[in-house]
Amino acid sequence: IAPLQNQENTCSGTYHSKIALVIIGVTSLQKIKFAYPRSLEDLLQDVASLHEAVSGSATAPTSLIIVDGLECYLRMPGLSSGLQQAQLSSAAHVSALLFDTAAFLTQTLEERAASLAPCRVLASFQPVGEGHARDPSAQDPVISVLDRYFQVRCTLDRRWQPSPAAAGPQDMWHVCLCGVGITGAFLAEDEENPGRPQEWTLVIGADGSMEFTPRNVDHVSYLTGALTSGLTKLQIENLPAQLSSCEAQWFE
Amino acid sequence: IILYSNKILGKLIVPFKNWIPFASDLSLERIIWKVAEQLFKEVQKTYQEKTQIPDDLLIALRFVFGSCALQALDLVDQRSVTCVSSPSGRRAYQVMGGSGLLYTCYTYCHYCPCPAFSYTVLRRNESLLCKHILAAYLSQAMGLFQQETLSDQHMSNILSGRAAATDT
Repeated sequence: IAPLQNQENTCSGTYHSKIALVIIGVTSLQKIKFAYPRSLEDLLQDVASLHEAVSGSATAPTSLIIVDGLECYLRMPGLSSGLQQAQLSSAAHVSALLFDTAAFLTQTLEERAASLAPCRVLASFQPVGEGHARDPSAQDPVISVLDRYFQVRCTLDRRWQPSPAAAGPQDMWHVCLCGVGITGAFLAEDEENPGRPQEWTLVIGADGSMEFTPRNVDHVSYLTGALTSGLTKLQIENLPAQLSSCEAQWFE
Repeated sequence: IILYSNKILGKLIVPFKNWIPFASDLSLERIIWKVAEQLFKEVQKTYQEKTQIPDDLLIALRFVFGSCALQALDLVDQRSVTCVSSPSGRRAYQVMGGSGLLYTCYTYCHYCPCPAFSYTVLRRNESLLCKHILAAYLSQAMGLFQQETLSDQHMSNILSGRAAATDT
């Protein structure tokens, strides 16, 4: 699900589909439904309607929901910027509906075959003020609402300054995974601190190649595990070629 | 420390002793929610046996949820909670507030469109739930809710906030 791009509202809304075409085959592509809701109300309706396809149908239930550019829906003209409380409520509404829908679809998937993986939710959100000078201590209040529902947050920050020795012409990013949902593949076997942030440096070369380096040497052993897990692989492979200055992404 | 000082909550929290040492790594809210879940189970078990909630459980509910507890119990008492379902199997709870407005609460995830949820839960982070969500939990535990079957399309409209159950 991605915002419909237009001249008045330019959000990074189409890179997932472009990259997906390269990564996956045609057969798999037929299983993907692309949707471009025009407003928050349409987005809510689209997500709320996902259960209808399950009813009396042999069609496999949705197993992954990706919402690109949540900020576009939460800051559309119909939602006054002065109504922060309404914005927080809208963020909570769409997040809760996504996870309630995913929980229902997971239950349906399990009923059809115990071996099927649960339905997951991925969403991207660009905090207010990105691309401009900002106060690092001032967090977009919507983020605290999203953190309430999404158990893992992946923050991509281009403003992180590498050491002078490593500085070069490459595009460098600080990648940080945090949240109470960091378990399993993200943690080393002897890890005693679930929820502890996991950090990497991402270098995007001029040819588009990407290289991840753990910021803590102790974490090398489980970086491989994280890269080979399905969701993380999808998340990393789908990084857009031209990222905006800073973007935060969450996944369950 | 405060939780352990309470007789009922101390009893409820025993199953979590194993992970309490790691509590510093989890938010207090999630720990309290685990306690609340145990509390709902206690309410369910006791209500099935005695068809009433004893004082010690009422005190525990008041302790965890504050003034919301009595307001929610009042809603349950008035049979204000309706469980709506559709042929797909999707369910949701609709709670008739004191003002006569109908609030839709989800089954698996906490959200209520009421002003109290936006202000005290989302903005101020002062409460776990609003009285409508708590009423939905308590009505499930006590089996005191009404039931209504809707079409899948109507259920979608309710979940998205476009319609209330009684609109059609």
